[in-house]
Amino acid sequence: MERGEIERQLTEIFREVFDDQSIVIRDDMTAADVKEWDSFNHINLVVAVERGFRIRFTTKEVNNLANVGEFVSLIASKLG
Amino acid sequence: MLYNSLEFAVFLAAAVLGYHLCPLAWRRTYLLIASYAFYCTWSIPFAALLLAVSWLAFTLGARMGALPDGRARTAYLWTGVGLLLVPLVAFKYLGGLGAGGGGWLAGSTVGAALVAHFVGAVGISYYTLKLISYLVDIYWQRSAPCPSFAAVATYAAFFPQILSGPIQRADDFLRQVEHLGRPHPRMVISGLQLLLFGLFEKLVVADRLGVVVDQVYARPEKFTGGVVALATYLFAIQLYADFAGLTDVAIGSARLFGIQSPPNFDSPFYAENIQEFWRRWHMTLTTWLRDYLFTPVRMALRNWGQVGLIVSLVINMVAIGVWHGPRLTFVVYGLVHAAYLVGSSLTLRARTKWLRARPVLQRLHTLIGPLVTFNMVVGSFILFRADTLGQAWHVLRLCLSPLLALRGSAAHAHAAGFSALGWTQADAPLAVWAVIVMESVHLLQRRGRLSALVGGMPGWLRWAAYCTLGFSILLWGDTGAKQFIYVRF
Repeated sequence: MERGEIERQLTEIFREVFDDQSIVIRDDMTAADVKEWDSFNHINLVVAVERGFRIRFTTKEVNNLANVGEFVSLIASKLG
Repeated sequence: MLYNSLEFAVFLAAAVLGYHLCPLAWRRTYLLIASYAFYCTWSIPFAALLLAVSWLAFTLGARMGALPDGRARTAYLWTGVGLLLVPLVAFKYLGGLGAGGGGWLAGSTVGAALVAHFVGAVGISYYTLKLISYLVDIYWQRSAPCPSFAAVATYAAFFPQILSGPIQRADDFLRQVEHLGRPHPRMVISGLQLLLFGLFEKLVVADRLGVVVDQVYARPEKFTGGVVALATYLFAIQLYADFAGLTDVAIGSARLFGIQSPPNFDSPFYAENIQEFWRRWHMTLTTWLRDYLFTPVRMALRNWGQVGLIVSLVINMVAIGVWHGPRLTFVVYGLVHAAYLVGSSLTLRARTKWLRARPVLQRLHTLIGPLVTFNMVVGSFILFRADTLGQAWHVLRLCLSPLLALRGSAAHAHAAGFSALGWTQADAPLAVWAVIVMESVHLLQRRGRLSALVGGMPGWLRWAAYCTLGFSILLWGDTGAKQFIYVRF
């Protein structure tokens, strides 16, 4: 899957999880940039991404993510 | 040696002077020696324990880091975490059970001797968490094993942080220790400012409010419900001022050696909901538990839906409670906050949606939200202050008696004058002034305006502010070197 397509699908998931249709993801975006993005919603986001892309993450991968750009790269690596 | 003692002031001044005279290449070793010299003033045998667990983490970390992903690597991690937890459980929890909660261990001669020894394991809750995070970060490949044992030992024992944090992450600390240079004068000045302000928070605010809290909580039935409730609110502010003061002294002292430490507080009493409160209160502990306990448990239970969230929250919050000590009141404190968080997180989306449709109420919520959250937190702090669940329940009933018109409490109550509360007439306005000063500084810090404001002041005004804080400490501070509340944990 192209990176652009991953970003498009990921944006939809972000909007759904954080209940905010105005969200536009960026590579340097972090939890500090989205008001509702706390540790509870972080796992909800992970679960939604796992379901949306039919992939599975480990705790190590989830805890090591520094920003959305790394998240997109991780999804891309899982999709091969 | 407590951070608010004259001995510590002398020790810190000598350590800083020696550090600045020390050649750059020797500074890391110097910090290690200074840290162990400080720790040995508490207990030499426990300094040996600190050295042993530091060596354990260093050795296991180096071996684990050299292994590829697999069972052996995981075995190293669990062995390391298990071995690091043994002294914590043995000296804090088994010792604590003996010392408090009925003193079953202290009842015998051998038990009393053991309990006396347990008291020496100061800082064990903090350095154990530091070393566990060091190992887990290597396991998760977040950071590489540190090649220097001296650096890891300094990380665990760093004396400004050893008694009560902040619980700094290894990579953040080790990166700074690797490049120790001459601290910028601005950093040293900000360190001294924080030290002064931290002592003000502790000696003028916390200890002053603590007088009333101690009086009322010693025999709550002697006071009216309103006074008991007032003491409970004062305890919340005392606890905050005490721990924020301790943190500021720790961060300020570290800056004198060129080390930046993470913040522990972000004006928590202005949080709009309970989730936000926990993001702003004791931040280094809550982020530690978020990364190393909550997220792994939540990830493991992520297919359980909301049940997984509830179980993860209960485990996390009970861990926060129990971290403070082996008391049932701390367990219940954790459970109460778990219930708050479950209720708040499960209804947050619906509440937000409801408020969005009502702009006037939404604006009011910015005022009401913090008020409700503050009251929830104050209520839970009864469990934090009370020695037993029975006392907590008794205090809660007294606090609520004016609202519920409970009989009995009023029958034995008498109107408390200042002397009954342990205060003189001057203490109340002084306490109000001190709290206003403290909160003004905290709000300026939160908005990032404090440095600019202080830096932009004319010299005479800046020095007038320093002198006001300094003289307040000398005139109105309790110089009896009372222990900081969080040093006990």
